[in-house]
Amino acid sequence: MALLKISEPGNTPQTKHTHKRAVGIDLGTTNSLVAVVEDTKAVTITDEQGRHLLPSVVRYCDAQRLVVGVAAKEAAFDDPLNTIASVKRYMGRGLEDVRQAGVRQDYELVAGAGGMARIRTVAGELSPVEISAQILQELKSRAEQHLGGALEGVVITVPAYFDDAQRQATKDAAHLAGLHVLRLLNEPTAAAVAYGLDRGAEGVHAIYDLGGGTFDISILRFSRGVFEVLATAGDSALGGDDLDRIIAQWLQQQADIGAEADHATLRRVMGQAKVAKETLSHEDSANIELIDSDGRCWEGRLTRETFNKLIDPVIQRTLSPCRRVLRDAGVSREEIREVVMVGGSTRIPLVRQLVGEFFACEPHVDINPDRVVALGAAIQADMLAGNKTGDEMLLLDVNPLSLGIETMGGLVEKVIPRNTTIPVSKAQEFTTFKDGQTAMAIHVVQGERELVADNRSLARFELHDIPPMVAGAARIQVRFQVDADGLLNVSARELSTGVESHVEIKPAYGLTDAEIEQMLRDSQSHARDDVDARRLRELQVEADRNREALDAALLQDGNQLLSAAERQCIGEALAGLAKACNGTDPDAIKQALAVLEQATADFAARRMDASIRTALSGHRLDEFAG
Amino acid sequence: MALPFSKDFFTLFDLPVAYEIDGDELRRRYQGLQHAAHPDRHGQATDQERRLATQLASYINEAYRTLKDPVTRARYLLEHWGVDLNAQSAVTDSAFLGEQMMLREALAELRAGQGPKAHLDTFLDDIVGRLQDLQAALGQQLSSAQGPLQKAHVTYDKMRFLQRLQEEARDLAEELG
Repeated sequence: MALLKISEPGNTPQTKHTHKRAVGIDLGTTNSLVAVVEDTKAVTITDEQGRHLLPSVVRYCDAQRLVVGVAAKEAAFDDPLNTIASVKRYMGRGLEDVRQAGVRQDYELVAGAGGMARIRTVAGELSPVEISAQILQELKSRAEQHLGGALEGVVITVPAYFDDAQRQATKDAAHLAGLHVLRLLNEPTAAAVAYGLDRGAEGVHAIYDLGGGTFDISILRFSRGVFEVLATAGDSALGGDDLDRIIAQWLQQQADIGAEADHATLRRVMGQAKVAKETLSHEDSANIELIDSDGRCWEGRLTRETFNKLIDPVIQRTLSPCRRVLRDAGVSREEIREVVMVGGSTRIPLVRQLVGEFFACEPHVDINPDRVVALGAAIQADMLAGNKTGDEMLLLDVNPLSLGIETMGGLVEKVIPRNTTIPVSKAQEFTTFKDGQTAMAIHVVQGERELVADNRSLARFELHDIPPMVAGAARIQVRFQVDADGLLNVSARELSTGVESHVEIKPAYGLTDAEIEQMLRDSQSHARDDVDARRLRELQVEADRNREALDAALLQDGNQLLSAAERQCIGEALAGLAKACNGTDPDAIKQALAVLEQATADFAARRMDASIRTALSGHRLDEFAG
Repeated sequence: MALPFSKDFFTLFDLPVAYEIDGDELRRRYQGLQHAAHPDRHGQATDQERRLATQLASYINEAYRTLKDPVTRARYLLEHWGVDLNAQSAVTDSAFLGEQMMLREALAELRAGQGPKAHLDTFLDDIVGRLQDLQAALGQQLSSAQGPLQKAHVTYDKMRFLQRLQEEARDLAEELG
């Protein structure tokens, strides 16, 4: 049968293929990195001074100028209010969340539209998304310089425990930085990829990732080239920053520096706390010298013993998610073959000791814990860009938090429970509770608690034009679709009439499309750029990508799967798209893309069907057994 | 088009429609299907194909999740064979109901007394044992559409009782640390 001749997706003939510039980015709380696969090996890209890490710090010098990285970090003492560090902690968060979570506030935080946290600087009130975009921009130019051309796609890592709002904010930042996101990848999963755990023995592994501001614990099972995340848990506001703060508090007590001290002094305390923490990862004690703004000098010493006592409560807080994740994964501690340590904070001996005791095995620390996530992201980017052919690696991840809908009495009805493998699509039926009710408000929430008020509100929307019926007669189907990035889409439909409403979830504390557009208009890097021109260019790139993909598909399967008439129809649509791309009307390109999709709908479905059939035919399964 | 969205979950994995299932084989086939369908395997495909891949991968995930769990698999199979599970609880077996009361009281005591965690572990092991017995019974009752489906419905409802109890006990275990 002709179907058997079809090669695997992602296995397109080498001859046709050109190498794509695709990188992995670890957008961290403290440091960020960019990595790429070169000669089959993932490496992090350094700056001109040979530095791998880019401090995730942005300094706004005035309304026009800004610096990112080391230069910004060095200015933190002199210009604390305009030098923004750890902005990741504010992503997708409202001002109230930030206050409640007890995230330390070094900056002048103000509430933006809808209560979103914004930071007041000399360059204006900035959203965390814009500030993150500057960090991404810096990494982008570093990578483009290194690779000698524009990036075609990136994989950006996020903490596994990031919720929908935080993921969306990250993707928005990438868009602002002009990056095409191939995938948002969970940090622990990226680390597992970098370790190549799939190539080792089959089995269940734990990834313990304690970064600057976030904590994740993931349980993965590896077999036959598949990384299957069984469960993930964590705390998206717990990390090395908290340890710094605890040490800083101790220092303040010791040196008698009150909370009312000036910003610069407090920053210096914080800086010394960080240095002491790092020293104590390899020394038994750290000497500390503090000079406050009045020139008062304090000298002291922090021993490992005192340090351990101070940070123990924070490390203990990571163990309760460890217990929960085991339960959710349905595995016992004894089944865990290895624990992989990720994130700078896992250099702390006490962390290694407690985690080792908890899982009763020696933690793995072979790869630099700062770089491992970026390396894994680069490997995934390389694969998604099609540079690696015939590779059988597949990542199956989960959603970290339950998704649900508000029902009567402020209760949550869960639609997709936490730790469900993504992508996932699930529908639930609801009904009207009043006679003649013609509209229904739908409130989407994320979290584990029973009461709506205790969970994160993601979005509200309304379904209108429900035909009037007696209470309970209407059948409203609400469908949740979570894609492979962990992002949610919700649509609602009244089943007897087909009235439909669709929302792309724009979280309450996220940016609207209009705001993003406005930022693009305002941002310096695009100052001379017309937004329309940018939109045209984006659509042209999108069209090119699709044309190229379709050409490859036609070359591969066109003869087997299409009749001459169908092929001609697709050819005409392709010609129409090419013509539209040569013009300057973005809407014409959009329309031509839609026409093309219509022409290729059957072809796409047949190709998918063929690959599924091949997958189920015996010889494929035998291959997996090897 | 012949995409498998309308196929029942067993046929999707090319497995016989019956309760007894080879878990390893199911997983192998699941991985095989996701290798073909998952959007990451279509990174360079058109947007249209990647959307299709996401839908298909979602469907395969749902099918796998449903079949790998003994309780949801029972539910799925009963519904597939036309049993109305929303009908009044089918459990009238007074011995079972009595046992349930007893187990609930035992859990309440464990909660109130906060006795040693070992007692809770024994309790949980006991529930797991009971669930396994019911699962074995379902294997007999749901070997084909001609089996005693009403009996299977009763067994399923019993499993649900026990599963809820198990969840509560696990919550308690988590509270106790």
